[in-house]
Amino acid sequence: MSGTVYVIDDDAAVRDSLALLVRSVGLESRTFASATEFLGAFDSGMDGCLVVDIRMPGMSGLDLQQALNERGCRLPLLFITGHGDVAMAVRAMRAGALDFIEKPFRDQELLDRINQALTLSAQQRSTLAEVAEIRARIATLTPREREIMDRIVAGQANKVIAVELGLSERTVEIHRAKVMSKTRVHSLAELVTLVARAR
Amino acid sequence: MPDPTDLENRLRDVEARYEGLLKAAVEAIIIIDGHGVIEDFSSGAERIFGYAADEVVGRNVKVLMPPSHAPHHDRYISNFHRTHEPKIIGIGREVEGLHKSGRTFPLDLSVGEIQTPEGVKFVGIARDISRRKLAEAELAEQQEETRFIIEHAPVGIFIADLAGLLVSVNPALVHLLKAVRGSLEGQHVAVLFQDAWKDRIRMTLQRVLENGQQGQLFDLELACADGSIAEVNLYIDRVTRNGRSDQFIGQVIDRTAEIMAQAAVTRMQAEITHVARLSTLGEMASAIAHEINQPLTAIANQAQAYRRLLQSGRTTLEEIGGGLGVIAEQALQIGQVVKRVRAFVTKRESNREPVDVNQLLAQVVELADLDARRAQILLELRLTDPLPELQADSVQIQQVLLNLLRNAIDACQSLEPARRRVVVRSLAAGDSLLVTVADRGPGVPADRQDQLFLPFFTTKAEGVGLGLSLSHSIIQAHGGTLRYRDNPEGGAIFEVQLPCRETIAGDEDEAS
Repeated sequence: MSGTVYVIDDDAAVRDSLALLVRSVGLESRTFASATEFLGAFDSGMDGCLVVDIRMPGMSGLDLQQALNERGCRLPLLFITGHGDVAMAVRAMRAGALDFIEKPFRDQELLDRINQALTLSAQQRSTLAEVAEIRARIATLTPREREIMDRIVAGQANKVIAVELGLSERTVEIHRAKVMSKTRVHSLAELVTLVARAR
Repeated sequence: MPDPTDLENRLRDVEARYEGLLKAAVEAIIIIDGHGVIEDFSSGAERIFGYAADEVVGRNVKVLMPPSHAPHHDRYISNFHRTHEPKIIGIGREVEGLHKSGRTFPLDLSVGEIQTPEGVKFVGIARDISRRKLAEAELAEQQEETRFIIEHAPVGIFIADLAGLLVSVNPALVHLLKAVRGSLEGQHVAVLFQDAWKDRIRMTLQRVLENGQQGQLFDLELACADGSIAEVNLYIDRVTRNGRSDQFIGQVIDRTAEIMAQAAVTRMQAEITHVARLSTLGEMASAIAHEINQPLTAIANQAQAYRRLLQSGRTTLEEIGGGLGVIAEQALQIGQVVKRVRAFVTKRESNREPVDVNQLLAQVVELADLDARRAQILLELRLTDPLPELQADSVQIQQVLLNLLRNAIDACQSLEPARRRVVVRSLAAGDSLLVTVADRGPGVPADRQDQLFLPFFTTKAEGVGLGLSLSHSIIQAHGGTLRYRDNPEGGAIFEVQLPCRETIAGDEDEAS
């Protein structure tokens, strides 16, 4: 399992013990004493998951979650809390938190969640990489080829495309072949799937 | 041989005198013959009995007596004729007369015997004593009322002569002394009291004797017949009466009920304080739980982590040793929190003891810090050391200080970080000491300041409004004051002033 566990908690003893727990199963961790400190260090290349104390003086865990969402951060987020505060948990889950764990907890409980989070994070990363690659392929198309690809995916026949764009059917066929080879697909079905993923 | 003219003149003179006498006398003068028949009836008699002379002259004198008495009159006369022993003659006595209107009235009657050529006659001189009798009855009634009041008064009352010897003791005092009625009279007043007080009683009697002002003695102890002690206040007056020698009147007021009521109030206040503490703790429960949960979580995490590291062989004994040290420290930290909480709720009797206010403040700040730290509020202690020593109920004073501190912390919650600061000061001021708690929150609006210490006054959504009112009554019970004033820097200042040297009020004899 790869990726870093980012621990954000204002209580030094709890923070250090969390880092120690993470290290005990051979995972990487980085600790932050406040939400602000983490935001200062945040960059979109970060890989892994967040373990955040929901109640912190100043910027709370929920505030941090919102700030990260606004920045398009997709890192899975686990909240830990000292209070079984249902309203807070609901808010956190709605805003996309992976889970909500009450202190103190069994190590396995937290470690299972961390594993889930890291798996999810890895999946997200590979998906993202794939999409980026598809987009790169599509980006090699000329404007005319792009226009014809959109119409093919929308289900238009070559004949219709030719009439509407004022081209010969033959020219449309040549462009279509170029689209298929540049995007490296072999059938119409494959092309439709590819474009859907890129969107 | 006497001159007939001269004799006649003398006779006229006697007659005139006799007539004048009958007319002028205020008293009734009645002359009857040996059978009781009225012969002369004076103007006074007309006035007193309501008859004109000619209405009764020639009738038996019994007409002037009530029916209950009249039948015996003939016997009196015949007795006198037989024995010559006067029952009334020359002595005078109180009898009842019958007015023409039928009303009876008291008479003071004296009867004389006249020897005349016609035989024995009697002269009766009677005075209407209705008025005197009425006044006597009124006086007797007044005396009876006074006696009744003293007999039934709930206050112990005694009368003593100027030598201090008891003349009478009312039932309330006999009861208070658990004595037998009649056993106390003739003894000295001082005997009623415990030995320690006897000299002061004698001195006070002497002083009252000399200057006539009331003597007051407070918190005395009666020596009851069964050996028990009753606490009383004593008031002694010297009373002067017409024609009789002066006396002391003492009032003995039982303080048992008062003392019991005071004890009940003290007990109740202790109860309320205890409940208030529990409620304060209830409000702090979340902060306390947090304070315990944090180190607990750290302990659990570390123990579990070291177990894993140990299993996988990826640690050293040194590392584990260090970790155990950290774990132990955190466990002790939890113990500290529990100790603080327990010390705060331990129930005990209310009692005054020497209290170090600075130490009390340090403890309170430690506890309030549970709340303050989470809200990032700084508690600043500025103590004057040493302070004069205070005699107080430390638990109650601690409750007041914690209450003030928590109010100040609440007032800081919504402030910008720079203003989240509560300053607690202790100062010595002459014979008293001051503690001020200042915050820079919104303060109390001028129009609400006078309600601040009333029960159920609150500005907090979840507040009951008993904290300040309870604090106020606790400080008052210690003879001090709790005041509010605006903080010149904005916000509130609460000031506790407590007297350090308590004077025992009312123990001095105020007769001098």
